[in-house]
Amino acid sequence: MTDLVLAESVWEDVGPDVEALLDGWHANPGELVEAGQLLVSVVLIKSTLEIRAPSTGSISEIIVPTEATFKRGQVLGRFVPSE
Amino acid sequence: MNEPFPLGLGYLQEHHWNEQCLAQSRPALRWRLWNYPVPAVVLGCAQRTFAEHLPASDIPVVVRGSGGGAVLVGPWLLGLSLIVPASHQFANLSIVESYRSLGKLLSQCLLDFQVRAQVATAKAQSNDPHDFVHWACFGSVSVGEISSQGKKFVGLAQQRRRNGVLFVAGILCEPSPWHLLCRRLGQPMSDAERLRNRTTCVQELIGVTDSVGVLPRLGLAIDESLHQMFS
Repeated sequence: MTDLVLAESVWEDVGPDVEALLDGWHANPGELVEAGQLLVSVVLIKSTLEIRAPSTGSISEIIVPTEATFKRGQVLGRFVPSE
Repeated sequence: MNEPFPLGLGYLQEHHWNEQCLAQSRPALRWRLWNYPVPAVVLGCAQRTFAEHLPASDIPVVVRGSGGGAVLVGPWLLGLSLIVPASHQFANLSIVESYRSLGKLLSQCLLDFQVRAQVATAKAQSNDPHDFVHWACFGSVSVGEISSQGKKFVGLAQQRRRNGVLFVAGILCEPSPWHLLCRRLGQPMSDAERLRNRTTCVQELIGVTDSVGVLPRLGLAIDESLHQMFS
């Protein structure tokens, strides 16, 4: 199982109090996705960013819902690779 | 009229150009400047709900792919779209550093007009909740954006995809009719007054009443600066 997190590198130079917005989930829990498929869109400092599937698999859990904000390092959801 | 720099007209054309560039697996580094003969409201990607339940109007409301607040585009605004492929070093700057770099480039173009402006190094803060109009792009200042004496006139946003980064900018060349923006989105007219008080434009900063020629001159300066930066 893999934690879906906005990469640490994206937060470079960003102040400690700044939060990102989860703009939308693009796959449902349990839905099979391919490697590289778009899973979630987020917005940080007016910049839209994408988190893509690390491998074939599915989202097992959504932790941060759409339109919620989140902090650096916060787990947004969990992903289970296909065997 | 042949423009000496790539100028497109209208938000739909801009949106189409942006999406076409981002859809390419290996987009080329390129840019385009925009003017808008007809007003439209352009919402940030997270403001979709604003567009729901709005009454019909001759001012269209569209949602862009980047973040940030609502913008009223029209003849008063010069827009910029800059697409940078993922392989380019500029696309690999941090979000903050990329905004600062773009803000610095634009502020240097403004020096041609003897406009000395400040590039925000961080998001503006205030203890007064009424200080900002948070739903409007020009209602608050974020890193890289440009103000003069505390009044904003250049807004920035970006979309980061795995194949490249699209940077967008909006430069107020003339005063914006803020009441149209507030009315179209059902926001209080007091926000229009606050936006008027918190913004300026190139025309005001250079002290002219007739800004014909300002927009094309500024567009040319930006085009030349981008050529220098990316050559």
